Amino acid sequence: MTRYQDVNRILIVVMILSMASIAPGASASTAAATTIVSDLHEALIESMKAGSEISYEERYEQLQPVIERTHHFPYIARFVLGRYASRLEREEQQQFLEVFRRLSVATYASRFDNYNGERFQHVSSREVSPGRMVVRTVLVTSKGTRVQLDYLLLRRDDRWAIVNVLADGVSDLALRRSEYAWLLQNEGFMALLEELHRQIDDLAQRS
Amino acid sequence: MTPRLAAAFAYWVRLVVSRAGWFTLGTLLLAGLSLFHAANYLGIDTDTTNMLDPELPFQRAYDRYQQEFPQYEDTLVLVVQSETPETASEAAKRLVQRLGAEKDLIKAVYLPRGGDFFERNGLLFLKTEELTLLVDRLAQAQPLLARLADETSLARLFEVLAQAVGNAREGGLELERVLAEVDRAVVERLEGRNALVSWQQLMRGEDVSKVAREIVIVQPRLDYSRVMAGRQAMEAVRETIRELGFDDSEGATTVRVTGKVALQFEELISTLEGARLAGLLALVFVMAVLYLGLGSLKLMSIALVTLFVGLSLSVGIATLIVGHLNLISIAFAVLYVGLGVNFAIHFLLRYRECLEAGEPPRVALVTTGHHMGVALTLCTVTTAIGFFAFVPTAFVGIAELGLIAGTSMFITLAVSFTLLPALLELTWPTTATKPGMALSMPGWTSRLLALPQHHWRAVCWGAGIAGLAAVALLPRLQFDADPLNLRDPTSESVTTLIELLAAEPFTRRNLVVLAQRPEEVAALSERLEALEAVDGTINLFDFVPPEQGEKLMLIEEMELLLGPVLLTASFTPRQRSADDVITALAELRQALRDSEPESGSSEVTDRLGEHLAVLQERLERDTAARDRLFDGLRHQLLSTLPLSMQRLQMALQAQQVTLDTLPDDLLSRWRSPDGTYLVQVMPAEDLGQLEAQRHFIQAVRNLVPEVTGTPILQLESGDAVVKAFQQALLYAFGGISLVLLVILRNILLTLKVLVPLLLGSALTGAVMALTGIPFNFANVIALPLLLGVGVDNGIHMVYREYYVNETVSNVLQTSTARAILFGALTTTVSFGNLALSPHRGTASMGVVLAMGMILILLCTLVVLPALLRSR
Repeated sequence: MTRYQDVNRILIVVMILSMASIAPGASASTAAATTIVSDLHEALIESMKAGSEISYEERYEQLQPVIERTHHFPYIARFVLGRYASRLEREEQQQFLEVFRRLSVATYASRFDNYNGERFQHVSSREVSPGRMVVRTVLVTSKGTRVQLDYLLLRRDDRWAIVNVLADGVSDLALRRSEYAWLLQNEGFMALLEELHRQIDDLAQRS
Repeated sequence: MTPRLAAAFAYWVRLVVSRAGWFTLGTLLLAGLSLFHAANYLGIDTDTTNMLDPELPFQRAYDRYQQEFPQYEDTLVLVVQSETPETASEAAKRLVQRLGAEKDLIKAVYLPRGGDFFERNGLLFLKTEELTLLVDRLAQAQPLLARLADETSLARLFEVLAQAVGNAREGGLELERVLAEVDRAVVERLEGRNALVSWQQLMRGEDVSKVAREIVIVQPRLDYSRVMAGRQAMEAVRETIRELGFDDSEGATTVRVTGKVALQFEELISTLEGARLAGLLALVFVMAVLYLGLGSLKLMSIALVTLFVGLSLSVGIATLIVGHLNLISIAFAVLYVGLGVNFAIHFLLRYRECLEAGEPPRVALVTTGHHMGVALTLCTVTTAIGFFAFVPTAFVGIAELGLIAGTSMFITLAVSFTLLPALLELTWPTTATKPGMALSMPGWTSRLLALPQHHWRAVCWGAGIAGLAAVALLPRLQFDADPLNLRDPTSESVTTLIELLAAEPFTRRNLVVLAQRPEEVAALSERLEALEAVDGTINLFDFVPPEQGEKLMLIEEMELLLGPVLLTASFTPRQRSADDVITALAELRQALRDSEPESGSSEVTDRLGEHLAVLQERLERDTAARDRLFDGLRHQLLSTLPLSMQRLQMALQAQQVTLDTLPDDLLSRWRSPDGTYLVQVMPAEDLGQLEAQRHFIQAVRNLVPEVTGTPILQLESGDAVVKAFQQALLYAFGGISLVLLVILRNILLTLKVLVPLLLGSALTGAVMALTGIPFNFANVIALPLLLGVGVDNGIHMVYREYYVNETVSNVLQTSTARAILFGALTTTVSFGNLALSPHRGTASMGVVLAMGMILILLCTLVVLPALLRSR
């Protein structure tokens, strides 16, 4: 019995090793990326389960480190600004990044604030090209409604981080980029910052 | 000399008459053989570039380019037009696929700006800023596309639009444009039409009103052993277009054919049609004039038979000495009819005159031979000189016509003194002439014609003034070197090309520079682009786009932004129940009504709202038509979506482009197998104007002397032809003067014959300058030829007056005047028929020749008698 277990263990190790030699780091990458997403999901579930026991501010504090660790905000911030990114001063860019980061955490904190038996299911993880991963998950509510959540991750500095989330195919990056582009074009950078601040305040008040 | 020649002709005619049967049979047999030979061996060369001496420097430069890059030569250009870029591109691809399979007839088919390579890497050829803008647009479109990816249906589209209208900021995709396009589709649907909406244009922000155009280049295998080398390939292409349903001019997608092969094919058809029409009409007119002039059906028939036999022999000679006809020398048959019949008229009228003077037929024939031999020989020589004058020039196109037509003049002479008397002898010998037919002109005409003699001083002064005025106008004469202007302006290949040039003005008039080394290419391009007259250059290295790293990153961003769903969905349109669609429609109408005016799209929303109301009303009234309406709308609004998404998905797979990854056919279009590089130079301004063309060419040539290309070919050809024309005019004039001097042996008399001729020519040029008719490759033959033909009238008159010893007042009352008039009339009329040709080059040749003939005839009839009167 133990002998068979040993053989099995050896076989598994061999298989993992041989896969690693065929696609170096591929499975390790997939696992790492999947872990990032599940870390986020775990944090979200925890936040939901805490429900009204904790305040919005506490929830924000709780989620912030996980969200910042799992997301690549500098990349996302630069991307949502699009062609305007290069027109902003360094300081302005930094300012934007900071507010944007806060808005993102606030959005999570206000959305995931009560628990009704929701669960996240991992569907697949696929490295679409070197350094780019799609982790497909499904959020199932207690009523059985399914929302498909696709996470796009990039590997930066040997670490995987989320850069885009698509809910039923609709891209968060795309929505934000058009919204911000509209504001930047029609009302300017200061108006954009103000709008983001207003949204953060709204989220805080609503909760 | 002359009396001896005259005697020789008399002797010959006597010989012919004594063995009339044998001579007739022999001539007919020879004519038959000649026709047979021509039918088997006479080719047609439709290549206008072959019309000039291939040894000219600019021809050689072009030749070298052709040898290095044969794929640009002898092509068919298929212009695909469709209402959307998606359908145009699909149609082009299907054409490439179908035609590519016709290996026997088609060497290669390609999309100069399409195909896998450009579909995959096209985004890299946008400027970085354009690409950034595209990322923005796609970001705007993403939510809408994602919802459509989930379910591509009308109901879903209306639902998504209803949501978007409620939120202008999130609406994306420049909501107004989308709504305007939906509105257009609905309006067209209500009117029962099928206008498609292009998602590509919406996504890329392209102008939706622009006609989508794709170009397909076809290199046919040309079978030069056939008269029309491109015919089989042309027919195969047309058949394919028909089978694919792209031939309907009302259809959503049409394909039209142009390009050198098509232009030449259709040009040849129009020329042949013109030559056939003109030939037929010339024959009818000539028969009428012959009948009027000769006053006898039998004589007319004899003249016609002689004409045909002469023509048959000439065609055979053309086959022997040249081997082919070209687009200009095809007109030779008509010229022949016009000129050849002249000889018969002169001979027959004089014959009748002799008969009426009471001579027995045989004697009359010999007398006619004696009297007419010298004059007609002279005419033959002078006319032939007019034709031959082009032979020593570089203008091969007309030199060939000159050689053929000039030689055929001698055949005419021979036939007129062989077959004509033989036939007369065989058919006429015992028949008595009907007396009473006046061979001279009616009294009032001769009185009219006698006027110049009475008022000879006034005529001389008038002629002098008219001559000076005409010469003053001559510098305004233009030469039109654009072969496009010679072609039938209604033919498909020409209209398509003109349209293409208007839409993409720089497609044709580029110059071409060849370079041997990559460094040379770069240096040349840089120096050329610095020129003011140059808009830009294209060479192989331009197909390796700059800033690829940055662009590839932007493309990667696009992919991140669009997400995996959009990039794998098929977007196949789905049908939802009519009730669902109606519900969604009501939702959209409600959203449009509620939309805030400040969102800026009030006009479009109002309009769409109204039209949707009409649609809804129609749906309620006619429930049976629901499915049909929805099917139509679904097709209009959603059918291009799968294609444009496929293209987008493909475009996102762009990869680093290097010289090594360029596809072979693209590479070979810009670098020949032996490593010669092609650099195309585009002009900064439209080259429709001759001056702009010269300026551009000169600017480039200063840098690169061995530059070539169509504009140079045209310009240089024009210059070469003008030079050839001047030489020919000089040769013709010199030759004719010499002949006149030899024959007349009198300088003053020679001058007197030449003056009306020069005056007529100058007047012809002046009228052309005044009416804005330019010289071109075809009609440039007119003046030297007119000299050769026009002098005949003078010769006949002078000859009759001086050598037949009749009084001047008498000459207009003889058969000679009648012959001159009717001869000139037939010539003019038959030349004039060329004007009806759909081929504009042939037509202008007809116009100029007919006009010139009339003017020269007038000068001969008015000025010559006045000059002869002056001592």
